[in-house]
Amino acid sequence: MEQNASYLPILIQAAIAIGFVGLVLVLTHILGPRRYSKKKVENFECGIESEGNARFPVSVKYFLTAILFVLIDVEVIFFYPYAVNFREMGVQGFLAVVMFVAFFLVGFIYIWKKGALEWEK
Amino acid sequence: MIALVTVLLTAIITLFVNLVNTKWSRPVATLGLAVALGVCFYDFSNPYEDASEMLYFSHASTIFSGLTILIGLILIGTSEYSITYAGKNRGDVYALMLFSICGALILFAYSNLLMLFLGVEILSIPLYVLAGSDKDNLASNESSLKYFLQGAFATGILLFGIALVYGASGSFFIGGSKANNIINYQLYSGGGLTMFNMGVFMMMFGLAFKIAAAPFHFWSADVYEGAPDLITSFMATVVKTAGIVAITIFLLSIGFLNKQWEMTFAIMAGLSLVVGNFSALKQMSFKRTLAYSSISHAGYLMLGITINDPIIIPTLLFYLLAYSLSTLVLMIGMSWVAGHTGKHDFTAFNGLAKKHPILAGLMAVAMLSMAGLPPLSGFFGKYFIFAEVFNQGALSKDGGFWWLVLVAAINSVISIYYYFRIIIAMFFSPAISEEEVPAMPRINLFVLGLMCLGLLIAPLFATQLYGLMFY
Amino acid sequence: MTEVTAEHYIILATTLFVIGVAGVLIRRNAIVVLMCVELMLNAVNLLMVAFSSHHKDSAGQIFVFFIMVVAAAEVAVGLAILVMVYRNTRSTDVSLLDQLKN
Repeated sequence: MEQNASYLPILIQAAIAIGFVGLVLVLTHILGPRRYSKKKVENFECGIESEGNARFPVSVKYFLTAILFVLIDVEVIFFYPYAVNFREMGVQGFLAVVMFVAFFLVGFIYIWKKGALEWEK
Repeated sequence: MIALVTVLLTAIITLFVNLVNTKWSRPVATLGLAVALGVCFYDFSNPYEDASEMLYFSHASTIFSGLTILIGLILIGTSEYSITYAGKNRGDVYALMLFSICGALILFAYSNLLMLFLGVEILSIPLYVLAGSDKDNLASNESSLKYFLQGAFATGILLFGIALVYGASGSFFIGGSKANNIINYQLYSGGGLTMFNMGVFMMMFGLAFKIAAAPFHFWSADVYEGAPDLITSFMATVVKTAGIVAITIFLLSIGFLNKQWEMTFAIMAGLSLVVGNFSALKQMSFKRTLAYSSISHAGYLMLGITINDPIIIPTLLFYLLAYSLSTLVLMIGMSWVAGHTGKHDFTAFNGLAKKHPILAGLMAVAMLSMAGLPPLSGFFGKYFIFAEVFNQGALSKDGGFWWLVLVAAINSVISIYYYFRIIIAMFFSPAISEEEVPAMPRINLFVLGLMCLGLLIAPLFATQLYGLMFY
Repeated sequence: MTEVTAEHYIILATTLFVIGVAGVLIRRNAIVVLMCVELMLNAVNLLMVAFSSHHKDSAGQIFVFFIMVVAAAEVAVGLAILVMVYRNTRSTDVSLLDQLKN
């Protein structure tokens, strides 16, 4: 925010984008033919008959896996600062990262041994 | 510092021991905490300040660490029966309690707002799980969800406060005289001080929530009541201690700015006292009464914080020691009775003194200490705080907060009413013996006895305690 | 065209934060409340980064990393609690939970 950034180009681009979308919407509304049929109002018209409702409860197994994935995935964020500075940080930084990864391994072994990763129970 | 590492390692070892054999998890956790308590003595003679200015383990913070580890040791050591609800997962419950203690130890020693945030979260996140650890009990579920939603909300507010303080000062460091701490702020162009104050206010909101001080107490009664007894005792002692110390460290670090916050704290203290006590009066459930009484104890502690001086730290320590010991005795006793009668009402304790005079006697001693009757620690805890506030008031022009001491004194008289209800139930009401309460195991009774002895003799060592803090 | 200063970020972050707070206070569905809490945390992240840039101090950005990681842990725990509550009550409506009343 230090440099005197001019946002005019972005504004112009936004105006063009919105204008184009609006124009196309209006044009199709005016020009397009209209037919109403049962097939037309269905959610998907790619040929396969749709079945049931999209909002049905998913098995909790997916939930557990997803949560564990999110946890381990987000921790990777700490590697970014290390990756940028790893030369400056030297051996001490390396040991810190090894410790961090070791804690993660311990957590991983725990969920493994606990049976959270077993798909068939 | 080494105590913190010991507790952390104990937690991890407990997790894995539980996978091998559930029965070993309690001895392992107890042993680990005992070692950590011993390590505290080593830590005490070797204060530690890390190079990156994140943690500073001073004498005072080591003493608070010792107190917290002692509480954990007592709770986990005597939990043989109060843990049975967790079945095969009891080792996980212990490990989560240990992780939570790690958070508390960080809060005693933080010298950077980043560590404050991490400490609060390490303290709270395991507690959200612990509150709901009785998975099939709807009350426990509800308690967990409420605690989580409101705790996460408070964390958000705390963080926004930290962000504003950072914006105003350009630093997260709160340590003493260093040039780069948050007091020596490079005023943010335009309205920097306003922003700083706003930030401090929001941080106080978040932290006051953690210790359940009014007007941020609304969650506590439900959460305390719904959570398993073991976890309620943990929350009422460890979390309260950690929260109060965290607030004190922060307020002392912003020094002269603190002046503007004294009134806010005085009002919060007064509200906590009145709300806690008057809500406790009309409760039917003993557990809920204890929850409200813990709000009022937060009030006494906040009253201490209104003194803008490090001299209050040993006073707070003494109060927290007295409060924690008596809460533990009551909670462990209640947990034993409630575990066998299935209810937490006052009526569950009817006639307890006839069948189990020792248990009833020890609980009565703890109750009297909580109510603040003279020979016991509870009285001296209150007395020291009142005396400090009066001294402070005598020095200042406007008389300080003598009126608040008056409010507190009146409230401690009122509190005697509901503390005596349990004594009356135990000693003077006829037993309604639907369920027979068996005798408590000798070893647990012995630990309760030791704690009561502690309540009796602690005032004798108050001066030495004060000396240790500034050693 | 005016320059974008720290004030703009403060206003934006505060607006997001207030929306989050309002959501927590008003909505009754636990999942929506959780999302609003996340909105609050992200508003804080934005503010931290803006101040970090203003002060030319990287500590604020490191703090943001920690907030993100802790928020992920918090969400994991929160969703697990929600699943547990849902199993027992078949609902995520906060106002249905009224076991604990005086």
